[in-house]
Amino acid sequence: MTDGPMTDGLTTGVPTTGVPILRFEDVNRDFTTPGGWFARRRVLRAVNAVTLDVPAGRVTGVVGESGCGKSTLARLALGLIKPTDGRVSFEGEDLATARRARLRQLRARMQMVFQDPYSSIDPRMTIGDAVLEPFVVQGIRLTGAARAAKAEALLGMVGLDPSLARNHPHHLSGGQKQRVGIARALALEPRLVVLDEPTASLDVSIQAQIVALLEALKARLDLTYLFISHDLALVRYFCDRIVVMYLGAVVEILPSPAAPIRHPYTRALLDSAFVPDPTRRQTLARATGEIPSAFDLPPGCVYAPRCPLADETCRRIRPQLDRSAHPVACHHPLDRAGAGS
Amino acid sequence: MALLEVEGLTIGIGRFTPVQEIGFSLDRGAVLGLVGESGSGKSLTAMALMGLLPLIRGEVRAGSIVFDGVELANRPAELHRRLRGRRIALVTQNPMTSLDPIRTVGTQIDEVSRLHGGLDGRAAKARSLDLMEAMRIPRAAVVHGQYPHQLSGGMKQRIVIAMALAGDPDLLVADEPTTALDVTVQAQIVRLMVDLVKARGLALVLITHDMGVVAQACDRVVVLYAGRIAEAGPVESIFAAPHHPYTRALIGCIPVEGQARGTLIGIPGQVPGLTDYPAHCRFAPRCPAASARCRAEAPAPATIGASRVACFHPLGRGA
Repeated sequence: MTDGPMTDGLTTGVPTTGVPILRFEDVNRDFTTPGGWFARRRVLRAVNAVTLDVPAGRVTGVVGESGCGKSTLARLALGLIKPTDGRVSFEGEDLATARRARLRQLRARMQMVFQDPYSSIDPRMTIGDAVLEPFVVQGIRLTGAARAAKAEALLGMVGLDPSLARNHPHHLSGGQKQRVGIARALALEPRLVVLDEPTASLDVSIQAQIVALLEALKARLDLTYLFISHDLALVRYFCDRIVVMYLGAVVEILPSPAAPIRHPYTRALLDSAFVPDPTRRQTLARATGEIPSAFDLPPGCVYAPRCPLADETCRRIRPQLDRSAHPVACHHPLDRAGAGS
Repeated sequence: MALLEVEGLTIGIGRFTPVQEIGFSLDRGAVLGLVGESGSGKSLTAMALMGLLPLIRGEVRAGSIVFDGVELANRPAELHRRLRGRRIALVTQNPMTSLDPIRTVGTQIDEVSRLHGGLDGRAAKARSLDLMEAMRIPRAAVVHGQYPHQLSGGMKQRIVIAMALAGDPDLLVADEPTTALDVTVQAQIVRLMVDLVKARGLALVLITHDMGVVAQACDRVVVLYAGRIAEAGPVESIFAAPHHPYTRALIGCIPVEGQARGTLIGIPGQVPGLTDYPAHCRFAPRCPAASARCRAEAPAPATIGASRVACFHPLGRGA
């Protein structure tokens, strides 16, 4: 992994593939519940000591279940919320200290596609206006002819009929709405696109279409993706590198989708996938219990209460992510646990 | 005779016919998967089994639903009321549609045993605790006294299933019971339901959009497309050799281990809306194998091996 920021922003051009475009350095993010007459204020650490590079031109996957902090991570990545501690930087610039105008400039280069295409598009706008909304936000004025041409080009790029530009989004199916969401995210030609569960609310046949579209667009436009999902099978198909999160912490970073799994939680996620093969039925064993509340984190390893390998050390001392090429935060990683397990 | 025999089931809502000529049968101890994308008619079929179509002004226009020798189609609401909860139970996607937020989950399970089993308070509670343990709810005695908002989504769904089992039903209808839950919890609950069905000799109709769930849980599967059966048969043969192009495409939508980049394609286009069902094969507009005949007439189901397939050009049938 390369050290140090390589570029300083908008004018120096495109960083080369593999260089980190987005960095998280020891980032914490807390949320506080409002206290009241009967409730005391409680602090929830949604993201806990996350250090992570997102290399340019690659697909970095973040996988985990509810409460793992993946959506908070997405919002931190775009500077939509600020870290409680630590630093999030995009192309070398700290998003927390950037001035508002500068942040807006930077945001043109990093965009987000949301899970729910139904609520992320204003139903009163025409599809053409929705796709061109980022230009309005950035204060970029387009002439009538340029507007029409741009809207049509963007819709064509995501496989929609350009003549839809004059229609309203309620005519669209879920898959078509998500294509509009992608077209809008790409309108300003960003470098980084954060994909927050972009296919979770779609039918499987449409999910596969959207993933195929994202793959094609990435190759064509040299994009960097941060792909957030609960679906490890999908992430292993789509991503170059996979960050596994559990209750706010990174527990493992798979350097490649085929890398042998080291963390028991990643193993449980994989064993829980519904493999479309009736000759390979899973048994009711591996993943036990449910995710505890993020308010009452255990002192040791956050996964210990559910982990089949947990011992006294795990319950007392929180494991840190090691500094290897395949980092894992575990006292008993699977590759060291011996042949038996 | 099978516990449940559905034949030629056709459901109408106003001037539309969202479900046409669906048939299947189900024995005790077996799990049948009804699989399809949104708009395939799988949830309407579930509502027909539960006698709930009148709620959405729907009706069974043709065909029959015979449950344990009794015809259910278009019978008085009173008959369905007697069966629901006691002999046929429903588990829905969102557990909060089945739970009362202001009463403890335990009293809600107890109530089912008291209502349908005639148990007194103490016996009902003991039975609830047994069922909660069968659903692998830890510290069942404590959870019994908790309110729904104190429980995770997975725990709530376990409670709902325990409630469904409390009436000691013969048939369980589960409509996407794990879709809203976390991945690791989904796997546990699906497995648990299947094991309970086998152990207690229940029959389960499992409605899902996920061929992975079908492969992991079901004995037989009915693949629906736009309100009609595309293919039906035993799970092993459907996955080993799907005959309908839609079945094959649906299985192919799930990425498998080691699958190469760029090979996940999906199915082009989308499921037609109720208002524009084609008169010919409904899958033809999305089908890679569609011919002029497919765009002219609708295929009738035919037997291929162990499966029933509605396709003019079924796959894997010689050259």
